[in-house]
Amino acid sequence: MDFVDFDTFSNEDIPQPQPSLVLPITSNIENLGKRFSHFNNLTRNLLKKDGTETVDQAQQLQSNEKTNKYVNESLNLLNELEAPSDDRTKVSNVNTSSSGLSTRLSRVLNSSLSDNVLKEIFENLEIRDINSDHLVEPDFVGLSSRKKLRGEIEYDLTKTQSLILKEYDPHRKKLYALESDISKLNNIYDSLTSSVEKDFDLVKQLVENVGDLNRQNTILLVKKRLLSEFKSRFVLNEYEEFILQNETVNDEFFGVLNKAEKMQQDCSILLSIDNSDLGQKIMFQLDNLINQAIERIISHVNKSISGFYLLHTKSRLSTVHKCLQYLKKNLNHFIRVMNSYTQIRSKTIVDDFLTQLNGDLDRGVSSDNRKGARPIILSAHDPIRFIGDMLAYVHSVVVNESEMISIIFFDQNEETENSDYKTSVLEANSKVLHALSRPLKTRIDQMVSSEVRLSTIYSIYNLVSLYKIMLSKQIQRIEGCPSLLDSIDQLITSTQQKFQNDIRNKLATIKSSNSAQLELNSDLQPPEWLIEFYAELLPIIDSSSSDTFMDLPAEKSAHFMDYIVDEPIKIFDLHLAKNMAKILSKSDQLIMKLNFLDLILSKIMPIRLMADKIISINELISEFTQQLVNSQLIKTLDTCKMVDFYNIVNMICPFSDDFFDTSIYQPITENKFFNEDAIRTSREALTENVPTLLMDSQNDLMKLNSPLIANEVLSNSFLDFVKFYFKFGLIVQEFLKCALSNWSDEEIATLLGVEEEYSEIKKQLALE
Amino acid sequence: MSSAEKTSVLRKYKIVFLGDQSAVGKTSLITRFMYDTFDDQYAATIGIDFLSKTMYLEDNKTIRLQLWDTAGQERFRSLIPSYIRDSHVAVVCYDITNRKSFQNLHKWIQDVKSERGEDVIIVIVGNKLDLNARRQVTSEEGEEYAKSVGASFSIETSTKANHNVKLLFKKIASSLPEFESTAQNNSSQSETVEINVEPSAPESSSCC
Repeated sequence: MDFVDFDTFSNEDIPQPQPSLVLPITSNIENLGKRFSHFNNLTRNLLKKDGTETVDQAQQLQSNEKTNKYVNESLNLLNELEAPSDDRTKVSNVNTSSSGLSTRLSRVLNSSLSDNVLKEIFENLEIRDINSDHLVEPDFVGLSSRKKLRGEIEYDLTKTQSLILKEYDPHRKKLYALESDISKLNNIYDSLTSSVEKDFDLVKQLVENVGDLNRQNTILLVKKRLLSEFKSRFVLNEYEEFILQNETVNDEFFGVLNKAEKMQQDCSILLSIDNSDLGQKIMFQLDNLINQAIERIISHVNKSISGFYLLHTKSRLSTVHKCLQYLKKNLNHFIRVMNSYTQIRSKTIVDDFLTQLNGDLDRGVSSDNRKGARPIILSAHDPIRFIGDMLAYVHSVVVNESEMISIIFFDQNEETENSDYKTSVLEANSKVLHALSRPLKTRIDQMVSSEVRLSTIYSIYNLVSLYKIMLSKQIQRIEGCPSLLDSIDQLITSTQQKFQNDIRNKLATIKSSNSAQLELNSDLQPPEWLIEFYAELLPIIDSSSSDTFMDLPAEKSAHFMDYIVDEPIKIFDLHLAKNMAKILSKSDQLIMKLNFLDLILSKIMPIRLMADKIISINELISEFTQQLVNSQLIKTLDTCKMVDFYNIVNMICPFSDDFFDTSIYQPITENKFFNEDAIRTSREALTENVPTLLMDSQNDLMKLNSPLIANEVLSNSFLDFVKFYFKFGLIVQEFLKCALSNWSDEEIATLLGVEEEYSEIKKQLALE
Repeated sequence: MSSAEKTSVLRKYKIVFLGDQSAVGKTSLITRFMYDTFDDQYAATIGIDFLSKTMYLEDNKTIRLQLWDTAGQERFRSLIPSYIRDSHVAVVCYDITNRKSFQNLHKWIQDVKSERGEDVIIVIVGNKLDLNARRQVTSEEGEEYAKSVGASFSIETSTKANHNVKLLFKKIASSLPEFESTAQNNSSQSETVEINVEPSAPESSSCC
């Protein structure tokens, strides 16, 4: 409401309408509440600030500035109220302007007063007795009337306003009473404001710090999450590292190892980032851990292998299977284990073998089978038993090792292993067993080389051959891999060679032996050395059940058979020629040879493998028999003084059963020996000697061991003699016209005991 | 080694089968035990054959039997002492329808005793029980002989009819020194104890 100051009105220097005065009391009172409400808002905002820290700082500042402005204005207004009324009048005067009326009118007319208010105003004016005629006069009366009206109205107005102001007086007094409180309040407010401002700065800084910390927190959380995720994916914890480095190899160990390997694989992604150092570092660490773990696995397997008894428990065996399953993934590691296995087992079985041989059983052996067993000793100088025990031991070792390697390297619960794995395992087994080759071969070779009896060498050969068959069932040959069977083969070969060499040596010894040469004497019997030689050798050959001797190749076997027959004959011939040729007659030498061959024949006859040699010996015997027949014939002819005639006839044309004609022999008449005197001499010799010729010849052949040969020699020589006698008789009759003797050819045959054979021949010739 | 592990330790025992060459049934006894089969065709064993089998006994005990099948022929006879030398059990077989094979038992027993003395389990087995009608050796004679030579026990079996074969091996297992106490405890029920046997060919480790 506009307020017109009374003092201002009394100043009449300026007769213009006075500008309305502003009475700010009402406004101040009203605004004070508003100010307080703003204060409350401020308080609330401050309180709210405690709760909500994230408020827009700019907005806050603006709000605070506005609040300060209002507060300052309120304080100014209050100060104005406190100021004396003179001052206010001065202010009013100052504010008066010449254009006050127009401004006022325009303000009244353009005011926002409602029509009702205007109507009321004008009604109040109508109450007065206003002489409008004077008022509108332009002269002084009018001016005076207007001034009077104006005075009246101002008086009314002042009066009314005084009344109104009086109504405010109690309020004013109250306000004065409130002044101290308000000042206190203002002080408090100021202090609060300053405190708030101060706190605000602190809070602002705090909020900034909090924001920074929040951001750091968020970053740290993200980092933490990243790191924990990273850790779970790329880093083993200490316990897991401990397991890999120190704990027993078991399921948990393999679980951690698999995890480490997966981490290592995942690390490849870290290598693709800009800085691959971390990835490399982690991979390096994991590599180290995995390598350590692998070393521990290998060590565990080696330990288990070295103490095989440990593998007799299922749990340990299962762990070893897992270890091997793991190591199979890396060929190098697996080869290391296999090499280690080969080395350990080779050493063990060789040590056990030597312990058995040395009889040092107190040291104990790895196999529980050996407990309580006697050591392998050369008992009673029985090399066969000794070698048999060794080979039986090796047989046991072979089956044990085969079983062991199967138990260790083939998990029965697993599916069938691939062929490469099987081959490598079999190869390892072969290598392990091959370790026995050297000691076994050395021992057996030692025994064989020191053995002089052919039968023993042959028994050793048979034993080794039989074990080769038995061991072949247990050992698989791997191409390119040394095998115990190779050594067994070598042993077989060495025994074969030893056997043959011994025979060669024996024969060489006999050949150069003086005593052997002296065994030949006038009794014309075969030498003892041959009997002894064959007595030792031939039963061995006879006992051979194979197609060739000692399973030699056919050619070598045949060569050996030739050797054991031909070489003694050569030696005999040599001895005979060297020692007896000058002493013995040709027929005696032939008898001795025939006796020798007859003995050989009788010895080799029952032996299957020597069938070919029987034929050749028979041929030889036939040859020597024929020589003996001829010798005997010559001897008979010589006895009958007919040798010269026999030679002359043979020079002209040897007699033949196929054809004979006396005329062919006509040239005989030119020979000076062919005359009647010579024939007479022969006749006398025939007459004298033929009756005893049979007995004499039999005596000559008494030293021939074979009656068959003797009979053959006698028969054939006499038959030849009779045939010669007959044909020569015809020649003599033809060319000398006289008889050879008084006996016919048949009579001569009868006297010589070959009449039947001769008559048979004559019949045949007659038929022809 | 824990006690549980000790009980599950696999022990190996070497059993050598002896007997005349006249087809007393050593190989068929082993074949029946190993593969539960029987072959009418006689094939003489050459040298020494080897087979092994894991037996799972009651109370979680496991043993591995190494069976050494010897040839009865005389020419292989010299090999046999080398195998008896380190054996735990000697199973001496005869044919109940062939008295000579029974009479020759003493030679085999002598071989066993000369090699092992008393430190061996001797088992006398009369085979071919299915040919009871042609029996030439009574079971009493077999038992008496077993007692006289100090054999652990004697038993008559038929590999053809698969009679008493498993029982033979079960009794052998029970006679082993490590199992004697168990065997004594269970002697009254030994006939009813079921043994599960697995052929060694697959080398299965499954139990019962």
